[in-house]
Amino acid sequence: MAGSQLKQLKAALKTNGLTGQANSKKNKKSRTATEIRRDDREEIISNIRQQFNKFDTKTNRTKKDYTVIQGGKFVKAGTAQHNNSTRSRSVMEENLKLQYGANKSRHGKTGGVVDRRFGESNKNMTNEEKMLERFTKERERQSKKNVFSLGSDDEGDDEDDDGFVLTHYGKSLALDEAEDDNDERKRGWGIDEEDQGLMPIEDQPQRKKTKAEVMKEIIAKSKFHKNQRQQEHQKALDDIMDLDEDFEDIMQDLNSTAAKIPKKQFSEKKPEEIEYDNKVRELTYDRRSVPADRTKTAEEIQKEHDDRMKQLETARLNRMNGIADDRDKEGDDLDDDFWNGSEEGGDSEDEEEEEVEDEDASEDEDGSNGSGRAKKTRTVVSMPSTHAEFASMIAGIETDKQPAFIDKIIQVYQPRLAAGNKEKMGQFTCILLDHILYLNEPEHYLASNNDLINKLIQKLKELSEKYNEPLVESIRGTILKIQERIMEQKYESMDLVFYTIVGYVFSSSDHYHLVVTPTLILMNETLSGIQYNSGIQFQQVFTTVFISEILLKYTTFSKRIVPEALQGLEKVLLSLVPEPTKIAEQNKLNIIEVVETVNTLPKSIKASKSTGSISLQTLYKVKPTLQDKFELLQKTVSLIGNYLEIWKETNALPEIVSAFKAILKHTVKYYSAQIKQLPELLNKLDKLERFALNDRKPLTLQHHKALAIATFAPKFEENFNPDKKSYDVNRERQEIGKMKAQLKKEKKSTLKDLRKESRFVAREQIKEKKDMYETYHKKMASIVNSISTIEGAEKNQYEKEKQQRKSKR
Amino acid sequence: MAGAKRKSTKGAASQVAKKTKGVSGGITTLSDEEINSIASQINEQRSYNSIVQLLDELKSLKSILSKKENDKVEGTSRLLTLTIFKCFNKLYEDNLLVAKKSYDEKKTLVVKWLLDKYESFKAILLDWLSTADFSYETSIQLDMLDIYMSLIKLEATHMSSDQAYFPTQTYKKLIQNLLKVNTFPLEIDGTSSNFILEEFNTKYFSKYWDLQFYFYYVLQEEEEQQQQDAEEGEEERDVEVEQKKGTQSTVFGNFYRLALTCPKLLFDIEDQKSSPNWSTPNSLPSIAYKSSAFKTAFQKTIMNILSLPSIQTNQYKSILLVLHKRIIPYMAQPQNLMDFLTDCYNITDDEVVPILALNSLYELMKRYNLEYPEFYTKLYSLLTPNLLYTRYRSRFFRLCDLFLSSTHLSSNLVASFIKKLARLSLRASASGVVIVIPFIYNLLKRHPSCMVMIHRPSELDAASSSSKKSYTDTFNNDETDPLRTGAIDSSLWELETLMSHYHPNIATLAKIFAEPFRKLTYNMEDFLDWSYITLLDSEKTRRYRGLAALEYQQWDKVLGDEGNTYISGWKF
Repeated sequence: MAGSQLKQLKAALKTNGLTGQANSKKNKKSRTATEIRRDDREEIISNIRQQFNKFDTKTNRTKKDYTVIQGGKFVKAGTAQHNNSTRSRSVMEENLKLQYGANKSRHGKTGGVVDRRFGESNKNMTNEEKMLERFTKERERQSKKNVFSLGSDDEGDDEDDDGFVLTHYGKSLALDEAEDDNDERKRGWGIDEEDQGLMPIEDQPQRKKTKAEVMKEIIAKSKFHKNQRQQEHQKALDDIMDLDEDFEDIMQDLNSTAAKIPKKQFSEKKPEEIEYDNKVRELTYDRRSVPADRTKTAEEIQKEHDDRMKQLETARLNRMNGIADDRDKEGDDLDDDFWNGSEEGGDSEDEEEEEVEDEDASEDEDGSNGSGRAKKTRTVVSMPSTHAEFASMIAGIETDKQPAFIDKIIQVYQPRLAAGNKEKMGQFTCILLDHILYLNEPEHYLASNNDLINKLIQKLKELSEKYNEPLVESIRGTILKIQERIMEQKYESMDLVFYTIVGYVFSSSDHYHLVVTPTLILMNETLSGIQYNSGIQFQQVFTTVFISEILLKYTTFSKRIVPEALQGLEKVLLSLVPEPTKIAEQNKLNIIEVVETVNTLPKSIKASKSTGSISLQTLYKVKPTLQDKFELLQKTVSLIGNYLEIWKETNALPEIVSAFKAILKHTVKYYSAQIKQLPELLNKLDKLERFALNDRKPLTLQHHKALAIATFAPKFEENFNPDKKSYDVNRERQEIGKMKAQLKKEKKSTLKDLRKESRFVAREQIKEKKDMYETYHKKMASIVNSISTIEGAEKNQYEKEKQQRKSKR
Repeated sequence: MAGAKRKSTKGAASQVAKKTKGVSGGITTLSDEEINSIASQINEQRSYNSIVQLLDELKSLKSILSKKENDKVEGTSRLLTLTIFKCFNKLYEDNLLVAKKSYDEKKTLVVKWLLDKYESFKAILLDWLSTADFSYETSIQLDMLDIYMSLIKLEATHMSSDQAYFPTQTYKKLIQNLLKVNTFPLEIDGTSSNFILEEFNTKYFSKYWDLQFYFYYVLQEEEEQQQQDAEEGEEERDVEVEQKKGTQSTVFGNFYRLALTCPKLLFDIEDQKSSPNWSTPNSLPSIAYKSSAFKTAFQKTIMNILSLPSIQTNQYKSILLVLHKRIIPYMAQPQNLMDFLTDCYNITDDEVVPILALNSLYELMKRYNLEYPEFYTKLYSLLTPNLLYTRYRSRFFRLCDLFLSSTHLSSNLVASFIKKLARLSLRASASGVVIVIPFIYNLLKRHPSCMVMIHRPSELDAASSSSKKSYTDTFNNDETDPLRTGAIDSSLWELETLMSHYHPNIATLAKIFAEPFRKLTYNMEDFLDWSYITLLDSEKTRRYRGLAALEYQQWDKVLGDEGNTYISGWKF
């Protein structure tokens, strides 16, 4: 850089944008940038100043070329960098020394001036804030005036207080302007009074008023007048008000006298008009008509119903596939569920009630003489607490009227009618279940009860929705009881009825169901407990057939396989068909030894008409007729036909049906005429098996999606830059990383400083100690020196004296 | 003791008078005082003839008791037995029951006579013990047993003057009687549950090793003799044969109760040292300390018992149940059981016996190098439809798991087992299915060459569209040789079908075959012991949560014959 110092300075200022044309177009952009960095200006200037002040900087020139390590970097000695760092170090050293000196001078000293200025010791406040705060404090202190101090006569009084002045008899207590001047003199009242008491104030010559006093007077006067005017106005208003009030009274009096004359005794209105008026009046009390819900068309109703069915169907399918939404209902849905539940409950109850009433009405109409009875029962019904009680209650009622009786109980004990009814109804639901089972016990069974039981079960189904929990718990209790019976190998028709009810009431196609699954286990336990041998009882055969029937019902929808039912049906067939030992393909059977059983049918049987349905009470027949057994056989054959619907979906169909085929082929020889569907079934079996065998392909269960092997190839950065610290795309994370790095750095440097400081302090202390010892030794040495010099001098003196005396002698 | 005796001597004379009165009454019952006085007479005055009187009394008391339960008579007989025992005890102490050379002729005669009475006393006791006349269980019999055992002790101590002695004959008679104790009906598993045996077992047999040793030692001769008897009397009449059969199964039942239910056989040297012996605190005859002698005796006894011609099937089952644990380790030559086991294994009319024999056979194969030809063929033939319904299925599967664990087995063979089991599971009980599924999983995991049975991505797939060549199942269910069933080329459709099992957990379990085989093995022990009861138990603990799903479909009727009915063709 050439040129004089001045030129250089100018150039420097220009390059930093501090001088030059203010509105040159060329610099417009950069100018704006500088404007933004207006705060930097100071810094820049000080930099420039430093640059030009060469005498402040110290440089160490070295003759040899070597490098040193400074701050973890190789630094060439004598370079600017080196010099800078040395300088900064020496500056720091100086600072430390100063601080140390200050500390040392304060060491061991107590007391001193405490800086009480506001915010002086608060480090969180900036300088400006401190100032601001101090200023406000100061103002506050000033504005706190003592209103009761009579002597206060600030100029600001009038402006601040809007003329608020302490008065006495309308006169201001404040000393008048007139007395202002001698105010100073009147500090000591008592003494002054004595001095001035003789001459009254009025007597003093009127002093000329200042302008301020005149203005004040004028203002006071105008205020006073204004006040007066206002008072007058107020008074006028009050008077008007009084007049108004009186006017009403007067008018009333006037009216009453005027009305007396035209009033008549009777209204002139015609009866029609009166009636009309009444109608109108009535209409006002009528509720505003609201647009009614549109009457739905048949199609719409149908559609709604279909939608609902569809919804239920999907719910069922979900449950069947084990996609449980119960889990969702557990946690946060608590209150939703809660409110929904109660609302729904209320709604359904209302509906229910209406239905019940409807039914009731229709029943009353049906039984023409029934109204009297209905009234009677209304008074009679009471809630039974145990099944025994209920049984005794219902024993006196005719069979066909029992459902109505139960309806009545349900109606009377609706949960909304009284507290505690809900629990009672829950209990009643359980009692109803018990009663149905009770009716099926052989000792209580009546053939005429068939319809009744059907109806009762339907009632139970209706109740099951509302009183689900008690019913479920009661059923679970029953399951345990049945389990015990199964262990004892007892076969009861009520158990069969129980299984039927569970399937009828609950959704039996579910993947898992609290009631259905244990019931399934029970049924299969029963089935697997029945052993095939020559002594197989009729009861066992009967139970097997019926349970297989129920199991079919349970699994039709979900298409599940029940191995025990397969085995059971085979056992039943083998124990019923005539001459089982002559079955051609013995090896296909899954029973090792085929024997004639006590239930084996004869070779030929009379083709008897089917009597329709089989009663469950046949179970208890001690000596079952051929007809009974034959009917069971027929049932079994048709059952196999029905089961085929499930089996044909499976791949193992040939394995499943092979045994049945063998047995049925054998049976058809004897009963082709008696059992019409037998040849048909065989044909179907044949066909299905053939198809299945043809279509069947080997399993490919392990077709899994190939899983990628985890790779650990290095990731390359496209635009790698050694200076760039982070390639993180996530901005937030990047910021956090930056912050962390900064924090770490700061921490490190602070630690470094602290260490440096402590090292410095230690060094200083050692130095001080050394100094102290040195001065001590010096001092001691000088003392010893001086003593020895004196001593030496004395000695010399002594020697001299001695010499002298000797010589004298 | 002495004081008591003196007291009883006082009124001796008057009691004798009373005794005659009792005789005149027709019933020969002595009162307690009389018995005491007679006993003291015997002890003090050496009037040994009175022993006869006491023995007669004891005999007659038995006939009274066998008719009716009588507390008083029972008490009396208890006292009587005790008194007689005391007398003999005294006699032993006086050395009057052991013939010595130093005795003169007269004394020898007395000893002989007394010994005779002693024998008859033992006979009476045994008679009491083995009688089945009592219609009720009396504690007097147990007392008799205690007395008899004390007699054994007495003999052992007093006879072992010069060398160790064990009263073999006395013990033998007791055992013979015990084994023949009639205890009909037997339990379901063919063992007896007689209370005398029970007492003997818990109080003596399972505690004292010498009793155990001599039990087998004595029995080996006994059974031999019996066999000879059986051979001799082959031409007995039918009735007698029937009776004999009955006794034989009784003997077996009793033997089983005695010998095989005691917790541990004590025959090792350590055992002998640590546990007491009953008869004498001193040492026993040297033969008792040889464990080989015990083993031989044990072997002989067991062989004899097993070869009894008329043991019932359930008795076979119960002995097979414990054979490998309780018997084989104690035998001198377990190889001799081979024929018996092979026969059991080959039984075809009962499915359980071969399964039970499998354990012991395995034991023999493992320890004694037994070779069983076509073992796997036989094992394969055990896979019958009833296997999954038997009680011992877990036992079978434990062993089967072991037998099929070798990786050197032909995959044809393993595949046959897998396929057969899958076939069976199609008709099995839930608990059976629970076993089969993890079992097959483990087999497939261990023999990956069999994985084709569940995964065969065939070339057919590609070609089928054009050639239409359909796949035929190669498995032959009737083939008995597991190497030739062709199962390896078949597929396990049965398992696929089980994925829709009615029980949710089983269905889920079956789905493991459609998932990657990540699990190493299933621990079979977790699956072996499920039953319907345990399945139901796990249901018990479930809590009611939310509405139990209801059937939304509506029917007019539940049971009926026409119209919209839930189940038609039935009525209540």
